[in-house]
Amino acid sequence: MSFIDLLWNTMMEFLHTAHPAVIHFPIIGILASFMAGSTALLIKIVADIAYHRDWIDMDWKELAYRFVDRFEFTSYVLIFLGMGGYIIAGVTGFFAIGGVEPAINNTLLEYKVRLSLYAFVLCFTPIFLKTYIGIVFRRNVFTNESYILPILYLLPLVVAAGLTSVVAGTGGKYVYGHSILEIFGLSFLLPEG
Amino acid sequence: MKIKQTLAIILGISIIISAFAGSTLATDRVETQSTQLGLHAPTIIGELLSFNASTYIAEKTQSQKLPPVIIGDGKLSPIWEEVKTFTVASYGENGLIASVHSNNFVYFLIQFDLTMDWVAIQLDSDNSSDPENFDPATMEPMAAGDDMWVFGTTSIGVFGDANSHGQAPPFVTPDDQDDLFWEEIIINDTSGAQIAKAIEVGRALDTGDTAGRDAVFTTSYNVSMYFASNEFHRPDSNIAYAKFVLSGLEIGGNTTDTGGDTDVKPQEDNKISATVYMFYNGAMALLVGSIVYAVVTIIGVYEIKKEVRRSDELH
Repeated sequence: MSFIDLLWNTMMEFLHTAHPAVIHFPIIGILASFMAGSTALLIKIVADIAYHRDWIDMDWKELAYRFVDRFEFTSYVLIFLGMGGYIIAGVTGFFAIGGVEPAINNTLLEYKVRLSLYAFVLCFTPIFLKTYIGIVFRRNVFTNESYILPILYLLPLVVAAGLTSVVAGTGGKYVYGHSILEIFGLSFLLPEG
Repeated sequence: MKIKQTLAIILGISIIISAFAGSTLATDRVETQSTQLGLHAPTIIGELLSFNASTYIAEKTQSQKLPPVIIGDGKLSPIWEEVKTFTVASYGENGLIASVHSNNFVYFLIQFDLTMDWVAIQLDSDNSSDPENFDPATMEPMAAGDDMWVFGTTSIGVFGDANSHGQAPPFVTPDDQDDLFWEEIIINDTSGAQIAKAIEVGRALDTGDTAGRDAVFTTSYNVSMYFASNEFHRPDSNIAYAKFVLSGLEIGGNTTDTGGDTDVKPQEDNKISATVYMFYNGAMALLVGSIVYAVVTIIGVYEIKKEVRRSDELH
């Protein structure tokens, strides 16, 4: 077997078997991004309330805002991880099932594919928003007076995170016949199949 | 102004793409010929392209419909458990054949012993025999140029859509226009031992391939066919043969069956191609994403400008 054949076979082996491992990248990426963003917002709220009520001085507020800035950046980076993970998980998923056609012919998998497309596209909004505000206005999203900007950043992200959770739950139902979402009484989110 | 123009352009493009996808979906159906799915593509590009190369089906399974024949998933479609199968001893001890059809495609299940080097369906596509007579002596599926579907392992060297080269070497040549899509599945017995190989093969009812002399399948026109293998492949070697129409199959020769209904329709009639599905749903997701992005950006830019003004006033 030549080196090229070996490389090819290894890559094919990876593409056909990696799906159970790589599906965790979009789940972790997008959910953790939302959690990091939410943490930034929470710290901002606490710092603002504490500052306005004179519980802390400006130095402490600036320190808190430094944390807000870090969590905002973490959230921003994690979206890329999540979106990259979606691409890898999608490609390996199609390889695992044998192509797009078998996937869209299965009720559960078709549901997964459709929701994944929406979640993936929604992730562009916080990325574009932060990039645009950063480049054009030299500002962060969370470290302003405004609360609307962080909410605008987090809203599409929470929807994408929710969709990703349903996608993950649907995958669990496809593989195991039941889903962790059912434990939380959310089985109505999953199709029959 | 630039922002508004950019947003307008993004929205416009999204709407155009969605409208195009919708119209494509409505007029349906990109019935492109499938190529074989699975691991046979020589490059990774081929692998990826094979995702969109097939035609099939997006409608969800409904209980009142039989499941579709899915070729490329590495397993037998469950529909074969629900249709009549015909024994074909010329394919070996485990040899059998079954058929279903939809409005546009015909599917065959061909099962043969692993000891067989090759098997073939030889079609009398020039109708040189008298199909109504159903006399194997008059059936001439192996006339030069006749349509053949060949599967197996090594020795014959030609697989899939082929043409007979007559009764002299090389006997079979590849069809220039390959209209078959198919996959191989290994069949195990109850102890797990490999005993047979099954081929799920599909083809358009009418490929339009007149140069390849592809048989045209209808519900009224009989097509004579031989079920040949490397062990049984001559009219005088007791092979199984049949006359086939979409509604039924009458079989003779090396078989224990006589005939039966093949008028079984898998769930396929409202099918959408994988390409159309991904394009349509991608466009819809893009449209929703664009609207969300537009709303967020408009409010966000208004808010950040207010923020900048506030900062300027403070300084």
